Amino acid sequence: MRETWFTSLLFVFILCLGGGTSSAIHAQEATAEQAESSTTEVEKAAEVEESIEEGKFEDPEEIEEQVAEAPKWVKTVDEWFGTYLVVPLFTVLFYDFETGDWLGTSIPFVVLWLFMGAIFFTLRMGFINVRAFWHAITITRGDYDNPDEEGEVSHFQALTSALSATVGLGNIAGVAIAVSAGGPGAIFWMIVAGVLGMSSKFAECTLGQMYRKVSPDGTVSGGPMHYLKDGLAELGLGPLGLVLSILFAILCVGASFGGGCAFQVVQSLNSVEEQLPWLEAHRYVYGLIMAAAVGVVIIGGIRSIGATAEKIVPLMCGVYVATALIILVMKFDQIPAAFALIFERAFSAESVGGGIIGVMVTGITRSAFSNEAGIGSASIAHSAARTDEPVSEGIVALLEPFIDTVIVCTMTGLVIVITGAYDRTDPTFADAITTGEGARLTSLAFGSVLSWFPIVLSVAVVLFAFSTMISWSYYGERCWSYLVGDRFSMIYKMVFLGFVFLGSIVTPQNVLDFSDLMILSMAFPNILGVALLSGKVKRTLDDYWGRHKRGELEKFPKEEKV
Amino acid sequence: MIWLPKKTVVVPVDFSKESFRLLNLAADEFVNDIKELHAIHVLPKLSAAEPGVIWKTVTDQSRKEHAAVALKKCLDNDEKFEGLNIEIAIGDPGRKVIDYCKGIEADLILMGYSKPNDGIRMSAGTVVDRIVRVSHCPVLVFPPETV
Repeated sequence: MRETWFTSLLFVFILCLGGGTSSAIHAQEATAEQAESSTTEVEKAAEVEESIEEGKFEDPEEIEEQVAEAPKWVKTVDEWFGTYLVVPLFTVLFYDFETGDWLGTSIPFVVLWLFMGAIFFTLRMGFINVRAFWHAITITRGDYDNPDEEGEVSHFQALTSALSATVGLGNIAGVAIAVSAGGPGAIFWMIVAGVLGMSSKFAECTLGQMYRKVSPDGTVSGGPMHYLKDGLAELGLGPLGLVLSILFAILCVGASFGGGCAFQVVQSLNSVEEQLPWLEAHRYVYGLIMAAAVGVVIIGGIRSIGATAEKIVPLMCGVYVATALIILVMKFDQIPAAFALIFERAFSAESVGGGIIGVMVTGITRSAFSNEAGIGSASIAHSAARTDEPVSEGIVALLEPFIDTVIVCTMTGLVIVITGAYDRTDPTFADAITTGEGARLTSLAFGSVLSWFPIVLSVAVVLFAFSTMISWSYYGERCWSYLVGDRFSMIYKMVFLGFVFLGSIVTPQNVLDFSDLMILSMAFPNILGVALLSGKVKRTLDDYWGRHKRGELEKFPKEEKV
Repeated sequence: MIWLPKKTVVVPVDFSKESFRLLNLAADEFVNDIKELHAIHVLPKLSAAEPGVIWKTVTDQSRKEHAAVALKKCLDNDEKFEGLNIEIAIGDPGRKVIDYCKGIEADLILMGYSKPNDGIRMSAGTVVDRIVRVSHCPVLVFPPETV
C-alpha cells in the first residue's frame, strides 16, 4: 500500500521536474482554435462580418487596439505577469504528458488527479455524498449543536463562512467561461464533478476537524497544513507530511493572490464596466478602490464591514438563484431542450473544446475552481465548527459543492444555454467570449431576458468578489502564519492588497491562468495526504454512522441551547 | 539573590513547558525577594475574516477570559501562585510585554530563549531579542537547557 503511494509521490515529483512546453495554455489555444473552426456555417460567419461592419460589436482587432491604447506601465506589468509568472508555472504545474499529441486533447495532470481523487473518496466512503445528504441538512439546521463543545461557530455558521469563499465569481464568471470554452456539455461534467467532489469535501473537512488546534483563548486553527503534517506523522510518514504541508501552505498563499483575489477583481470589474463605461479606460481606479475597501477590513481591522459582506452573501446568492429561476420559468418550454443539448454535447465527439475529453477537462476544471472540492481550502473554515464529532462537520461540508455547483452553477449554465450566450457567432456575446470576460457574459445572458438584471448582478458581483477576497485573505493568512508565524502577517496583507490592484490591470486571461494553476495545484499535496489518511476517516465515519443509525447521537433541542 | 530585594517580576508565558518552568522558578527561588509576580500572555490579533469574528461568537473579551482560565488551569491551582497577577493582552507580543512592564514599573523580566529555527525569524529577530533591546528594566534570559 505504502509503495503505491510512494510511487504516486514519485510521479508528482517527476511531473514537477519534467517541464516541457505543452501546457494548459496550449490547451486553451487549441480550444479556441477548435471552437473557431467549429463555426464553419457560412451564414453565421456572414452575419458576424455584417455585424462588425454595422458596428454592432467590436471585432478582435478593435480589442487589440484598445489593449494597445492602455498605458505603457500597465502593458509592462501585464507582460511581466504573463511571461515570468504564468507561463513558467503553467509549464510545470499543468504538465499534460503530451496528451495533446496522442489523445488530441490536452489533459493537465492536475485535472485527472482531482477527478480520480473524487471518485476514490466516493467509493472509499461508500457514497457518503448520497447516503448522508439528509443527515447533513439535519446537522446544519442545528439538531445536533451542542453549545458546550469546543469550537468557534455552529455548523450552519461554518458552512456559511466556507460558502462565502466558494460562492461567487466561480459560479457567475466560471460557468460562463466553461460553457463558452467547452460548450453546453461542460455543464454536465461540472455537475458530475460537483457531486463526486462532495465526497472529497467530506474527507478533507473531517480531517480538518480531527487535527485542528484549539488555542488557549478558545480559537481554532485547522486545515490541510495541520492534518498533512500531524496525520501523516501518525502513519510514520512525518517527513512526507511536513513537505506536503509546506507545499500546500505555499500554494494556498499563491491561490489567495490568484483565484481568491486577482480573479475576483478582474471579473467583477468586467461586470461593473458594463454599467460604468468610464472605468474601461481607468481600470486601475477600480483596483485602488477595491484595495482600499479590502485593506480597511484586513489591515484596518474594521470587522463590521467584513462581517456584513460575508453575511450578505447568502442573501445575494438567494437573489441570484431566484432571478435565474424567474428566467427559467419564463423560458420554461426551452428547459427540456437545454438539458438535452447539455447531455448530448457532454458525450459528443464534435463538441467544441476538443471533443468529449476536452469538454470533460473544461467542466472538471471549472467545477473544482468553483467549489474547491479536493483543494483543501474549505477545511480551514470548517475546522472552526463547534463540535467534538469531526465526521459531523465533514458531512455538513459535503453540502457545499451541492449548493455551489449542483444548484448555483447549474442555474447559471441553464440560463446561458437557453439564451444562447455561448454562441461565438452571436454578435451580442462574441466580444465577451473572445476576451474571456465570464461575468460580463453572464450579465449579458441574464440581461437579454431581464434588462434590469445586469445592474443587480453588478452589485452582487462586487459583493461576491469582496466577500470572497476577505475569506481567501483569511485562508492565505492562516497558511502564511503556518509558514512564517503570526508576527509577519502584515507582509502577507500588503502583498494581498498588491494583487487586488494587479487584478484590475492584468488581462483576464493571464489572471485566469494564474488563478487556475495556483488553486488547482493545491490538490496535489491535499488529495495525496487525504488519500493516505482515508483509512482513518473511514473508520471514524463507520463508528459515527453506526451510532447515528442506532439513534445514539445526542440531539439538542433549541430551547436547551438558549 | 540579594540583589533583588522585593522586586516586581514579570514572566511572559506562551503556554510552553519552558515558560511554566520559569514561572515555577520565579515562585520557588525568588519568592523571598519578590514583591509582586506577574504572568503575561499575549494573544495574536485575529483576522477580520475568522469565522468566530464574523459571527461575533469570538470577541477580544471572550478570548481573554478563555486564556486566563486556561492559564490558571495550567498552574494547577498551586498555592504558591495565589498572589499571581495574570495579564492577557492582544497584539504584538514584544510591544505588549514592554508596555505592560513599563505600566507596572517592573524591575525584572524573566524569559526563556530558543534559537530561531528559520531564516525569517533569524533576520527579523525574536520576541526575546526585541524585549532585551527595548525593555526599560533588566531582562534575565535563560537558555532552554538551563530552564
